[in-house]
Amino acid sequence: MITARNPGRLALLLLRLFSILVAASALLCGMVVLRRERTALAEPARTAFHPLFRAQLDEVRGRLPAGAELLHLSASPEYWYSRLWQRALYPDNETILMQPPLSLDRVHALRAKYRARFAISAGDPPFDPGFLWKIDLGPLALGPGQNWFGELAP
Amino acid sequence: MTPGAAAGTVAAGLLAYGFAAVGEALLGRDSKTLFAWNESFLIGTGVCGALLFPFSLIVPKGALTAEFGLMIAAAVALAGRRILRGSSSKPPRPSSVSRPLASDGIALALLAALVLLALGFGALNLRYGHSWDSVQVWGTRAQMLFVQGGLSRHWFPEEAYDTRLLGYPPLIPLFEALLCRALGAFDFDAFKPVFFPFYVSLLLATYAAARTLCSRRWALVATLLTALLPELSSRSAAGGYVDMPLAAFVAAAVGAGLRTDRKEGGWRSALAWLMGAMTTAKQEGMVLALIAACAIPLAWMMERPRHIPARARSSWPGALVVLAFIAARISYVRWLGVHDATWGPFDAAHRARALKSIGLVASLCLKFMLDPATWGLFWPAFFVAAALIAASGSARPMAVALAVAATIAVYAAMFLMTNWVIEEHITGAYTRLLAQLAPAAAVVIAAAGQWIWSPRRPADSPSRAARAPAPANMP
Repeated sequence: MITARNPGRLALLLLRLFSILVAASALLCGMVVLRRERTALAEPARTAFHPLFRAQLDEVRGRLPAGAELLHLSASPEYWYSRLWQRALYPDNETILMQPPLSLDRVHALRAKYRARFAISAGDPPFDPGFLWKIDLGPLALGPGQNWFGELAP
Repeated sequence: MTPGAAAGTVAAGLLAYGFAAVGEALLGRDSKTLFAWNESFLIGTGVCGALLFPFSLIVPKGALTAEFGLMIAAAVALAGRRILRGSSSKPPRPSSVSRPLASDGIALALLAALVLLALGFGALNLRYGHSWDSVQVWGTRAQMLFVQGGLSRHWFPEEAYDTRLLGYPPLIPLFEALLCRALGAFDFDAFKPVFFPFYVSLLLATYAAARTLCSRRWALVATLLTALLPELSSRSAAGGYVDMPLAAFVAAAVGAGLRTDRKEGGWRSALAWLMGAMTTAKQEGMVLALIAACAIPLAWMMERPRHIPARARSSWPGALVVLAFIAARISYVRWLGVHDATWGPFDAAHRARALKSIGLVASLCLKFMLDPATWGLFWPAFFVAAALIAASGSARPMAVALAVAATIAVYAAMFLMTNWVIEEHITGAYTRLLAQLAPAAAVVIAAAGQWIWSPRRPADSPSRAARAPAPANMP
């Protein structure tokens, strides 16, 4: 039995070999990751807002009155860009997210509750919540589909 | 580095000094070493994190400003105290009889590797971008703090499930919001520099903890083992998750717990404040604080059972400190009134599902713990080291090893009560949870490593050089 005070010679040898393996694996592990991360170091700093998203955001901000509530509809489940719209427009514009299943009844209920006049609809194809007018913001920053932005019919 | 990133880094450094000043004032310290300053930094951040809730109740829109005021007052008081004492307070002479660092080539090489890794993390942190949590959880909380000036019950409409995010501890959002306030505007891409002080803190705290048991070289090995872990030096750490900062608190608490300095009892016990501070960083901080609270009497029992009553008497003010942090956290969550539907409830259906899932949870957790690309042989080494430490009968290191092992088990058991798909939840979280414990495990590994290579030396006794109470006389 190995005890702290009196280890057998074989046990000690095995422990030393194991400790060398531990050190080597730690070095290898660290080096592999550092090597992989070289690309991140060589590239410009990544941003929370993809350049395409930022351009679309500027477009929406330019047309959205201050304080106007906005619906964001995702035709398929989406948990990054929909929330990013919400954060990016906060606190000037409150954004209410709608994930599938989408329906005009839900849109009307939320409009009645929040008096939302505008909407962004994302999907392939996007859901039409009853736009009075709309513009095509362009493709989604990641994945297939389009973004529409517009004012909802009264 | 862009001018914006440079300004953010400088501002984060100044804020870190402000947090450290709060810690110094609270502990009544006049720290002379980087290691002691590091403890004060962590304690100061924890205290400011805990005070955010009462400040938000008293001055709902001015809590951030109040935090600034507190930090400035602490920094001014600290400077004033130093000026008044003048040159009478000189740094203590190191009692260490070890070789000077400059003449220890191996230690220098290890130190150089650590400095390079720290600089590498600093660069990577600024370029890596954000993980989901970094923006959608912590960054969003920071944004709301910045806009509202304090904690509130406000969340985005129609998001019943995500209101749970309001209940997440506020330390990192506070730091991020203060940084953006200092820079003049809120920007998700501006607050990444807050993670660099925590990374440096993690390395310093791991070294300080290991130094209580090991020689300088082995303490550096423990720190290097920690720094080489991808989960703490890139991936989720560089992506803005809060597990790496929590790991810094774990390392510092282990260091404070392993110290033998008897003067550190009472309400100014660094260990007590660090245990409490963990509850302000991340939800698991509560689990860690409770496990630490069990490990301490366990260590007493293994050391000198006869002294337990006396130790309990001298430690009750520290226990009250920890309880105050826990009470602040529970009060905040109850005040919010939000329920985190991720877990439980502990009803018959969930218990039955949990029983059925034991095998699945255990096998998945084991798979992630033994993943060679993420950990190498780190966790097998920990368990071998823990067995050796147990065989050595060294009470405090054994208590640390048991606490780490217990936390590993508790973290795995938590997934039995998840309402998410178990595989997805464990895949997304377990590796990060283990990373929180890595510095404590690295200390145990280094202590055993030192013993393996110098078996005549007891496992909890460093070289003669390291017997001086840390962190005052390090390195």
